[in-house]
Amino acid sequence: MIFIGAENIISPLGQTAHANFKALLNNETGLKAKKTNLSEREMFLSSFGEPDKFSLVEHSIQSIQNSLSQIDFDLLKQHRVNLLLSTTKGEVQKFKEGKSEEAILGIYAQKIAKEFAWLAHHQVISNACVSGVLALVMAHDLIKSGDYDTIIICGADKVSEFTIAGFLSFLAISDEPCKPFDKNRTGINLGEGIATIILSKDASLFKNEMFKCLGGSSANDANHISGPSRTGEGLFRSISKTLKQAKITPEQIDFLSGHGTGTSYNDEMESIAFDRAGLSKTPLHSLKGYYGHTFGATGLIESAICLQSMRANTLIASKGFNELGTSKKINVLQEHLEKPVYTILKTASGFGGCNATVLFQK
Amino acid sequence: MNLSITTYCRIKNNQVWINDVEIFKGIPNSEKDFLKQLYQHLKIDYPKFFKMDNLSKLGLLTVALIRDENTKLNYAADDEVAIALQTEMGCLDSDIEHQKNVTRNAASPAVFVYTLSNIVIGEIAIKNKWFGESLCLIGKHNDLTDLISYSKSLFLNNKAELVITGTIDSVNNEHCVNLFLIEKEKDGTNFNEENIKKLITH
Repeated sequence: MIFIGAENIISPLGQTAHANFKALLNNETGLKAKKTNLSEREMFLSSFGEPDKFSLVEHSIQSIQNSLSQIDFDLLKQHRVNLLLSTTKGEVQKFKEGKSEEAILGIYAQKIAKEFAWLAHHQVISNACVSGVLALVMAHDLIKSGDYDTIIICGADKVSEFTIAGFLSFLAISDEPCKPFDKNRTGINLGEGIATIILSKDASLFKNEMFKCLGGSSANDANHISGPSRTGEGLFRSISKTLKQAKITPEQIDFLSGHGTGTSYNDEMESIAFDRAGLSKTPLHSLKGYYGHTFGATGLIESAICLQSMRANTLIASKGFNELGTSKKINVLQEHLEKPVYTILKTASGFGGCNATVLFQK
Repeated sequence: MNLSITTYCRIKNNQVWINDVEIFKGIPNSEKDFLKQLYQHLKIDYPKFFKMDNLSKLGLLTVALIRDENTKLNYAADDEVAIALQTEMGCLDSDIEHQKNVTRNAASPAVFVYTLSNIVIGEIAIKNKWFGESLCLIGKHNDLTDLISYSKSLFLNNKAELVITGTIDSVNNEHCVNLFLIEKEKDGTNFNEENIKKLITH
């Protein structure tokens, strides 16, 4: 059995996972209209300040330290520990500063890992928007095979001119706060943030309530590098494999934490995959209406909220959603919902046709 | 479980080796770059190739070489082949090109999409119609601990029958790739970190 807990989130909504969860319960959003150098119009960003300014190294260390405060550190020191850093672009502002060589993600990782001298190893995973969920799957599998006793996963990305300009060129950025799965959705908002989660073979490592991570899987659409599959093939396969491995039926899933970016094609694809996987009735949300899309952090921020939901037996509403706008019927939560939560499926999909899913259980 | 390296493709200094046998050498100072020369040498007909960044081109060609050498890849089910790669410099060429475009206020989606290190895996999956597990790690070529452990775990957890794993980098027309096909086989070089390092550094 692999255990999971000690979650932290650093976002414009708060510096701990609990503070973030409370902000979501109060329907707060990090998305604010901001002016950038890249567009005449204001755009909605969930950011700490101007693009490129958020210090990723400093705050990643802070996030990891917060998670470490939630575990038995003396016990951890007896463990073989790996640090998995999930990011798409890391210190991407270095490109603008003309220091391209310093933007290499391995350098970002070294700056963080050197703060934690007791680590047996550290590793960067950079797999577009599924990086965070895939890091959870990888961590589960590496602990299961005995390579490590404990793995700390930290996901981080910042709002940068680099990514804003890229998504503007894709015409993928919405002029308003995003509306995942809604009929009137018009695209994504960008966000920045960091989240840390700890997985261990040892339940006694965790000071507070911990949960089980039942593992997961990934699958590729084998279809298009920037457009989701019309049949939701990769996501469907990833969900199916994950359920089969864990011997869990769709009916046992209490809640589905979707990716829900707010683009027309992505959300439609997810609805098809969820329907094919027998999850059309399962309560579902996207958190992009609170955080925007935080890329390498998104899977971990959203998973940390899943763990908070299991602690509080409360599911968070899908902000920005009013009327279903996908061809397949899915059960998008419009209000927060108090209900016992035992089993949660978390999914993510991203550029490169990648999809990943992971299961948590109380 | 016995896991072996059954096919190994290496490209370095514009030379190509399959299982340590040199099979192609780029012509220097040609008007065609090395990747185009290799593409034509392999007689691949895939127009999308020319839209890709060099990292994706390199990955695509290396997998084509492995697939030509080891026909097991042709018979595997479409979700039985997994791809797990590690790159040190990632998509630096595309990053620099995109940043130039941003600076002159002319960002292009055709460049921006390649500023994700995992796109090379997506291109390989599309070309070969493989729906299996995939993973992109970033790190130095001499630190493959997690890449190898993860590749092994794919077999242990019945997530793959064949795994293509190894290192890939392409920056400023300098290509360096070492890809291995791993199978559940007794015959062949045992799949472990020591043997992989030997093959990469010799």
